[in-house]
Amino acid sequence: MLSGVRVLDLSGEPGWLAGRILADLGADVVKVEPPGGDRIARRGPYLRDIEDPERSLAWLVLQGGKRAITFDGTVPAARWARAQLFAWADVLIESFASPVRTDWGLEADRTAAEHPRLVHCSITPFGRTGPYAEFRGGALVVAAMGGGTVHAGDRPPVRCTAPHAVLRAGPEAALGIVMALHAQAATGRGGLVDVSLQECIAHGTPTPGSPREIWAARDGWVLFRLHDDARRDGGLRALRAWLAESGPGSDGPLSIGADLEHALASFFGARTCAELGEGALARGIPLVSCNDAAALVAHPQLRAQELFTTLELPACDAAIELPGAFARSTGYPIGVRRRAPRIGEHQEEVFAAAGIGRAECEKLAAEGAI
Amino acid sequence: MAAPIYAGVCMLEFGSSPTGALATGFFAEQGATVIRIESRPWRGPAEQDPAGGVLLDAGRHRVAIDLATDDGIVLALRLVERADVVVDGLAPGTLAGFGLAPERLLLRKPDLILVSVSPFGQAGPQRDARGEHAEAAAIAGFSPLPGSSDGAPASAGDPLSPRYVALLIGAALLARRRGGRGQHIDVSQVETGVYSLGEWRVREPAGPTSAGRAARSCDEENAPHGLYPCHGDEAWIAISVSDDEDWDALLAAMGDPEWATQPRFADRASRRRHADELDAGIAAWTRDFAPYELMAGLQAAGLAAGVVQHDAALRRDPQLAHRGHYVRLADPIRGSVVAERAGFRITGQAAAFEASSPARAEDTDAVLQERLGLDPQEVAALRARGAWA
Repeated sequence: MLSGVRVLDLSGEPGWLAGRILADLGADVVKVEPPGGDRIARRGPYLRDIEDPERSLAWLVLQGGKRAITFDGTVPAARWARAQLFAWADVLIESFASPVRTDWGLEADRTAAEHPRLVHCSITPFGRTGPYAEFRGGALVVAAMGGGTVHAGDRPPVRCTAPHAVLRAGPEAALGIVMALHAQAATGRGGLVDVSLQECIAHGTPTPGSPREIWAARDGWVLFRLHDDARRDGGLRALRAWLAESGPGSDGPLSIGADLEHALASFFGARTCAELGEGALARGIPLVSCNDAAALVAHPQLRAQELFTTLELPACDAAIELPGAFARSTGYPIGVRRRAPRIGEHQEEVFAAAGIGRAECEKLAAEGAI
Repeated sequence: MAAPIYAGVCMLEFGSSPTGALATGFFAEQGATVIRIESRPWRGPAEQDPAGGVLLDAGRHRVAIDLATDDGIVLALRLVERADVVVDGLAPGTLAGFGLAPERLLLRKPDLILVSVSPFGQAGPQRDARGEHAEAAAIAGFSPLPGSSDGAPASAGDPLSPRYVALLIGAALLARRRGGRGQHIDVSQVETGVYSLGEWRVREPAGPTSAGRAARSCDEENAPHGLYPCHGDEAWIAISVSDDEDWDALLAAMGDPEWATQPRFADRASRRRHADELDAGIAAWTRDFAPYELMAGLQAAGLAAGVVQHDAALRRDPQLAHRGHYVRLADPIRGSVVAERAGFRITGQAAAFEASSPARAEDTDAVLQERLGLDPQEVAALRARGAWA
């Protein structure tokens, strides 16, 4: 869908997913790393537990479909090459804090003046301007500030160990980018897409903790949302009928409250996740088991739908299987098309396409910029 | 301000799932016309009490057409012909059952962008499983992730799929603008969740899954790292210390208490090994502070810290206010309602949505007249014949 769109991905972790998504839609995404590689690639777990940035699972998954170069655009001698790369690109993604952003020449008014067609996507914890613009924030801090911590019952709030803000910012930044490209097609002008991780969390997040959702099964956990949404009445009715099958009076009272919760809890607690999941599916009850990774890769629906793709990694003498796509279309291919690049693997071809010759590259190498 | 990006673009939404509503909401904000077809009386997001909450579906035109009637099908097909995008949030097979199968719609309008979204996608042995955000997140493996001392998971209920639906609509509109074709896109909510967690779902073929580890973000390696109590009712602060330089800054902020200067807290790996003791010490210190004061002090010391906020606190948040996240919209019946903007701003683009019609069917007459060119007598005759109720 996005073939012909050229993307320079200068980002750290908050932008990696956005780049992967654009690549899976057909864009030509070039991951730009500082010479020596990204800090975040030095994060485990690693393929076969061999510590090596090119075996980082985060790298192998989130750089899938991209090409890669090394380049330090903050070195004074690199300014011309930097401008050539920015001119080559339709889209630039970065997640720099403000001092580094300035070193890269990525102040919003500057990119707008020097590269008016460029769509410049910036991903920061709180956005580029405003009272918290210079605040530090990791995944946990922005989740807290955006309303994303989990509150259930009278326990202290708990955090989700998955980086929700980053997972949301991936598709949301990619959305902002395609919207800005749509505007650019009409006006010829790009502009800034200013993504705030805090705001990605705040947007569309319901008030936490009202209905009871998680229940203990005999061998794990299941999710059934016990609340009075009219559209779900049928599900609760069917569940109570199922309870009634196990004996008179076992379906609990009609109204939602502690007694019904108790009846459900003992029903769930006496059965396995598999029994509950299969029974619910047959009865049209929106109850599901909370899967772990092992249960997922074996999931019959995901297997039938061929969600997982295998990529060969000759340099690692291995292959990996990963979730290949986020949707399917009758019109265009969607999904990962090539393995993650090795560090700097496409240096020459990308620089040549951007009009940066061999002599210039040698100069940049001498200055430590590549 | 520039013209809204999607001025003149029309989207039809079948069903009233929160996923469809959130997805089309991104485009309503940028000027698209979004028409929701509500075949049967049901309680959609618009009817939920927006008091204290946020209207999920600003900018919708609400049309009642009974898809079980011949007149209703003819009207729906004519609306589809005049639309750019159709979002099908109904259970798989429902539209086809009404005679509105994807192939038929695309035959009728070859450049149509039709997106179907359901828990498990349009095909496969479990395509009929019921559910929404929370169920999809649980299946995808989000729910067991939140950590807590008693070991019980809590629902993550994370609405990732609307963002993917919106992204796909945006990419498809861009492709079409550049001369591309129409398409039917099939989104499985579970698959968007699994894809998002891809890093933790990798394995070697026939080998174990990525070391069987729970999904963790980079900063889960930090120590201290957690939610700590503050002075006041339900007052909590998130603090995350990424390296030893940060730790020194936190020590200075705490006034170098004796317990914290013990060698077992000197480096990050060791702090992680003694996390329970570390957290107890930090909590004993944070407990005496008002949360916002503590956040300001820690941020001024260069530390990542943020107050746990929900509802009212979010609505007062000065940063979200600066970004214009919450937008108050005039509403003829409720006086005013609050809608919210997406997580990003595009240069020069203001929020272009208006309040929704609060009631189902409210806009049926206007939409049929304006978009299909029917006159009031024709509309009245259709209603009398039972094309909607």
